[in-house]
Amino acid sequence: MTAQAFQVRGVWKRFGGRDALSNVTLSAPLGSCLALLGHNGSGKTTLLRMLATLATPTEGDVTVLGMSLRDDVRALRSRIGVVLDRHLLPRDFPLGDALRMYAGLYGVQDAADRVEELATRLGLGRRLDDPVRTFSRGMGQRASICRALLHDPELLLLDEPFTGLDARAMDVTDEVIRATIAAGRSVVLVTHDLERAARLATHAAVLADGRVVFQGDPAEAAAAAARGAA
Amino acid sequence: MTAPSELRLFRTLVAWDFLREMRRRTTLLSMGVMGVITLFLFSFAIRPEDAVLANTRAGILWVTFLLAATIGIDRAFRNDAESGVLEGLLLAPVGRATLYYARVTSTFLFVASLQALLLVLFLLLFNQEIPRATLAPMLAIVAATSLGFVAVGVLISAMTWSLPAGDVLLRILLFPMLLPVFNVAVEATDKAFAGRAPSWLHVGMICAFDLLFLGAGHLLFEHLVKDSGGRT
Repeated sequence: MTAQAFQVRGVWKRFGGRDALSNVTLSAPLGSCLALLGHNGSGKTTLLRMLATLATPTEGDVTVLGMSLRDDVRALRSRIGVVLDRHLLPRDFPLGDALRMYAGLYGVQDAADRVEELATRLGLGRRLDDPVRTFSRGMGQRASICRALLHDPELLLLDEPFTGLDARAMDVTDEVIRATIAAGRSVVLVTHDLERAARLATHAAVLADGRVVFQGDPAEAAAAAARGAA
Repeated sequence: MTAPSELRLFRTLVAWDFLREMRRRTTLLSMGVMGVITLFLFSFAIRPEDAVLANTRAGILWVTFLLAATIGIDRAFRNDAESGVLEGLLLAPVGRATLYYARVTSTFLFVASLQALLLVLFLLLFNQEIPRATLAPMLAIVAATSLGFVAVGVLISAMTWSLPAGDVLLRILLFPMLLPVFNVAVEATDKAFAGRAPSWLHVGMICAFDLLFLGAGHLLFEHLVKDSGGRT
């Protein structure tokens, strides 16, 4: 049996009286890039936050990198990197200090070198001394990707990583995703960019009203999402 | 990559809180302004020569401490939650108890340093002095009571930051819970002003309150921050 980056079995998530996820069953093999597609409110971000250990299922089982979310997930957190809709960095800190602080929490060796290497790779090498509050939306997004990659995670969870990026930054992000997969790491990509999803992903799923309505080839999933299956 | 020890993570988080506060100074400034305004308002209502002051001075001091500390407690999670940093910390491989104790420690240190300044201002404004013999016990009572304030406050702050009108709810929940230890602290402080050392009963009750809520934070904090800010 192929080792899985994650497995979600019969998962429900209720907020108040509303089901954000309804009986979702989904998995992705190690070394894959799974694109999660669907309209706003379809449950993509809820599912991603669950994989990121920020939310727990109301019912069902979630296993990430072989570890159940019902167990102690601290060790799991050191193996996943997460990009959310906000950069999660302190606005008053220079980027370099903020990233080095996060590197300290993950126990990254040679944190200063690692921060410089990633910032340079994401085109932020000259902005390490600038406070994060001076960054544009796109720069914040790239800084967030730097933060998520600091500890060289085995699973990278990306929620709309292309939002606010210019063409060059999008290409750099593409390159980061490809390099992650090439290194045998896994990626879960939540996006509305169907064309990019079809190009980058190795697997795809379309969610609608908290249910998986399509699962399979990324190009077909993108077409299904475009037709409104989502 | 080596997983850092909880002690090292604790030190990193406390140091980070300090560095951030040194850059922003919003928490200390807000607490300071609230404390100074409260003391000045009391000083207009009660003159240093008024006989009533002897019976109310400990209460005035603790009401000032409480109102100022509440602002610091309210900001313990609100600033981080609003900027998204809290989610970043929750994503990191840090024990939830470590996160709680680090936040209690940094908030306590902010509150305690401000209380030292407010105490001096109180003594000057109301022309009071603390007998030398009871100064150390009184400072110990202030520190131990404030630790309890912060321990329970950070816990409630973690519960309320994401709710509508969470700052109001924090006060509604916090003040009744603090009432028992507040009464004991006022009584012990009153004795100290009068030159009598606080009783062991006072000390025991305050320490029990601290231990109760530090223990509750250890057990409950993880559940309070679970599913924080969940959205579809």
